[in-house]
Amino acid sequence: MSDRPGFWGFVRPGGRVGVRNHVLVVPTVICASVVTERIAEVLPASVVALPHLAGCGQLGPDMHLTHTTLAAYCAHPNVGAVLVVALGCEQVIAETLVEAARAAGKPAESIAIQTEGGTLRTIGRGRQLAEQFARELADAPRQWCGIESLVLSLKCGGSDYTSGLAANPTLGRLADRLVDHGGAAVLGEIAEIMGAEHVLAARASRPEVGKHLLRVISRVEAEAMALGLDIRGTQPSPGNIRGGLTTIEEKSLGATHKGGERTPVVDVVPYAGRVTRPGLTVMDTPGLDVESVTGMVGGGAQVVVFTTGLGTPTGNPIAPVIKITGNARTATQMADNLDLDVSRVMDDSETLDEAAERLMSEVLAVSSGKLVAAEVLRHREFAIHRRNPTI
Amino acid sequence: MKPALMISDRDNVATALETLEPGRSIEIGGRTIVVRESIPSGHKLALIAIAEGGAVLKYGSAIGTATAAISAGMHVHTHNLASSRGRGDLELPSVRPEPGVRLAEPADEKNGFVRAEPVRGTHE
Repeated sequence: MSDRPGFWGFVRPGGRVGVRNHVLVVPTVICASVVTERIAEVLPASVVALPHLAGCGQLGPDMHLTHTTLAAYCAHPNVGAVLVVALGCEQVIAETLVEAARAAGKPAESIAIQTEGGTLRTIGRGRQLAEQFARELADAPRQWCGIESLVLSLKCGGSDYTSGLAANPTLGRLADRLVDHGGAAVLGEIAEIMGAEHVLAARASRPEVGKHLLRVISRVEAEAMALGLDIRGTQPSPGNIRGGLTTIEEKSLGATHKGGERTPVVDVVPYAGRVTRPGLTVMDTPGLDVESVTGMVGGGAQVVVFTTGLGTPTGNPIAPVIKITGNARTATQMADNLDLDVSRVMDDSETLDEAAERLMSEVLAVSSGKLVAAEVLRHREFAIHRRNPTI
Repeated sequence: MKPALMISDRDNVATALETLEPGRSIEIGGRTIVVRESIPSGHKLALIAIAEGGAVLKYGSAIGTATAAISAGMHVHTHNLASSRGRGDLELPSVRPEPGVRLAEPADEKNGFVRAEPVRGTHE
C-alpha cells in the first residue's frame, strides 16, 4: 500500500479492475428475460439478471447497439462469470456474447430455451450453472489497486437549483482529482450539454476532439428540430421547471459542472463505446437516466456518481450508483435512496473541496465493496438505447 | 444563509435560496434589490432590467432570451424566459404550440413517429 489513494478491487486478466464480482445472467432477447430473472432469484445477490426489451426485430443500427451493449456487459470488469440465456431463433447470437466474456478471461456458458426444452428445464439448468459460477467466485481475492484504475461515470438526474450549486460542482472537483491521479471519467447526456458546449469544447485536448463534440451536439439538436417539436416539454423536465430551472441552457450549464473545472476532454465515444483514455470522455447517450447510465457502464465505468436535487432511486445491475444531493429536504425525505448529503455547501458551512474529499472517501469505500443504497434496495435498472422503431 | 446567490459577476439573475416575498430588500452583487413578486426557493430573480429579446445570464453564460420586458426584482421563469435551443417548433409555424395542450408523448418523439395531426405544445 502506498500513499496514493486506492481501493481493494478484482484485477482481471488483461489488467482491467472490477469493484464487484457478479455472476451475470444475460438474456439475448426479451423472450428470455423472465427466465434469467427466475434463474437469479434463488441465488445470492451477487448473481444478477440483465432483463431487457431488445434483441430481435431491430434494424441494423439498433441491433448493433444492442449487441455492443450486451457484449460490453459480458466483458465488464465488475463481472466475474457469465451465463447467456438464449431463446434460439433471435437476432442476438449467444455465442458472440460468450466469446466477449471469455476474451476478457471470464468463465462463460450459454443455454437456449428451445434446446433445453422449455421454461422449467432452462431455469433448472441455468440455476445449476449460475450456482457453480457463484461458488467459483466466492473466495476470489480483492487486491490493492490505485485510483487510476477507476473509470467513473458522472451523472445527474432529478435536478433542481441545488444540483448546479452544490452536488454537481462537488462531483466536478472529484473528477478533477481523479484525473490528476491518472483516472478517467465519462459524461453522457448530449442534450444536457446543449448550451454549455463552449465550456467543454474549450477544454478539448486536441482540436479534433472539440470538433467531434460540437458535431455530436449539433446532430442531437438537429434530430430534435427535425421532429418539429419544442424540446421544452422534455428538457428541462416538468420537475426541473418546478424546481426553478427554466431552460435547457441553464440545466446544461449546471450539469456540465460535474465534468470538473479543468479536466481535459480527451475523447468522444459512441453509446456503450469503451472509455480508454485518462481524462474526461464524453459519451453519446440520451438524457434519460437509465439509458444513459446503462451506456456509461457499458463503456467500462465501474462506479457511477449520480447527483440529484429532487431525489431518484435508480441503480444499475453491475455497477454501484452512488447518490448525492445538495438538497437538505431531499436528503431527509428520500434518505433510503441517498448515500451522501452535501447540502451544507448551500449555506457555506462546508466548502466544495471538503465535500469533494468526503465524496472521494465514499467512492473508494464503495469501490472496495461497501454497498450503496441502490444495491441494498436491489435497484438494477437497465435499458439499452434505441433509435428506430421495432420492425 | 444568504437569501439569494449570484453565481458569476456577469449574471443578470440570481437564485433565491429561500422564498422571497414582495417588498423585501436584499443586498446582492453590491446593490440593493427590492423583490417585486413572490419568488419560490430555487427560482430566479432579475438583478437589473432586462429588455424583451435580451439575453438572460447565469453561470456567466446566456441561458435564454427574455420573452417580455423584465424589471429588477421580478421572477424570471418560463413566463418571461425561453430557450433558444432545440426549438423545432419555431422552424415550422404550422405547429406553433398553443397553451394548455399536452405535447406528444416522449416515447413517440424518441421513436421518430411524425403524427399527421399538428402537434401542440404545453408552453407559450
